[in-house]
Amino acid sequence: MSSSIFSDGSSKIKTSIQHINSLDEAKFKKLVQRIAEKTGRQNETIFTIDELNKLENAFGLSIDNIKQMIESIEYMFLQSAYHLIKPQILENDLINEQNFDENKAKIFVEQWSANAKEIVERLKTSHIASHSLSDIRWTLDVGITQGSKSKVKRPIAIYEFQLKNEQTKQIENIQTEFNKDELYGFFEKLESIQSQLDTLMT
Amino acid sequence: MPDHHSYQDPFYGWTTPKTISLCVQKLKECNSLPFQAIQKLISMSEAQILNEQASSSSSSSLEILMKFSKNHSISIENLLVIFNGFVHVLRLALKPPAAFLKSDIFKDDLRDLKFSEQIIEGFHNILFGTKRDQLYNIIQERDRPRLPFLQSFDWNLDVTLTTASLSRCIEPLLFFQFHTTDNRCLTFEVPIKKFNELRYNTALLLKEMEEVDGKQALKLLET
Repeated sequence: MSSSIFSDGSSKIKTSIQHINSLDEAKFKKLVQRIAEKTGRQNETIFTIDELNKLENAFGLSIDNIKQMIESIEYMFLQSAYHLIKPQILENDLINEQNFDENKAKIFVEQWSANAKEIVERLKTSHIASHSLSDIRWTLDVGITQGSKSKVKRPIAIYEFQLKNEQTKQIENIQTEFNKDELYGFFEKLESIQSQLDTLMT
Repeated sequence: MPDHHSYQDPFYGWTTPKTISLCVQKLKECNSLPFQAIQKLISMSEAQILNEQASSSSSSSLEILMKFSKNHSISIENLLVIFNGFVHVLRLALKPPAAFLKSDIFKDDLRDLKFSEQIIEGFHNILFGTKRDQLYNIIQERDRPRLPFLQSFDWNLDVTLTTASLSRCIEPLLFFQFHTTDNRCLTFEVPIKKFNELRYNTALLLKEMEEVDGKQALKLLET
């Protein structure tokens, strides 16, 4: 790659890179580590307001500059994940194209190698559907008598599907019941899905 | 042979239900009602339970009763009492498990209630006739409270190739769409892990269901 993977955002991150280069190395390492842990999680802020204030004192930079720096580092992680970039290429990119200080570049690449798998995993499994299945509960009941019939032996499976609304994080409980035949039909459908999954994965 | 009264309660319970005693009383009073009309009432009561339309001309049972009331100059209240009694007899007969209702004992019980022989024949034909299984099935399955159940279940298995955040992804993506009987249409994504859990749990449930028949405590419910 002759052009940097950060070329789309290079103007935005230029000032941040200057700040980064002037930072103390140990502090930079901790910062990058923290950001790497949180990259890719949906709807989570990386630093709270209090923590940002502490960083302001620690780094001697204004809050705006710190925020920009954090965003830039996160952006760099996300771009690296997007391209699934190899560490060596990333290092070259940072040093040659983005004017990163060598030691800082090494620290960044180190953190990337350590956390790449997790970050990609998180990005892979992030949902964009409005609802997703978060949990399943069930009971097996047996009906033994009812108003219209005095003696029955009727096994009934009751499922509770918990659907999570991705926007509001609210859980909706859907209760359904299945008698024996319905449960068999449901199971057969699940089996056919599984066989499709198997052919897909081979 | 010992009288069945000594070992089996009549199908209608320990005492004659008021509905039935009123019905018999009205039948005696309205002896102008021809047997054909009574026959029609009996088959209507069967249809009432099956919840079908009474005839192809799709006139409701109430309309038929009004027609009888006019034709045979019997008040509609009396007809309603008689019809109600018939339906009640059928419901009570369908209540115990199918094997408990023996032909002769049933007829005997009906005689104790003071129904005429022709009517007894009519009831007997319904309960041991062609629609027997259907009647029992409906009584057990339809006339009980039910949680919503799945009417249809559609699924989509897609593969995510690239996303806004990953240029090379290759992840399977599973979507379910449930249509439940309370008119809800639920579309949701199922993570593969949850799908595996669902499949495992369903298999476990099916195994437990099969084992229900063998459980000691439930052997008392053998019919």
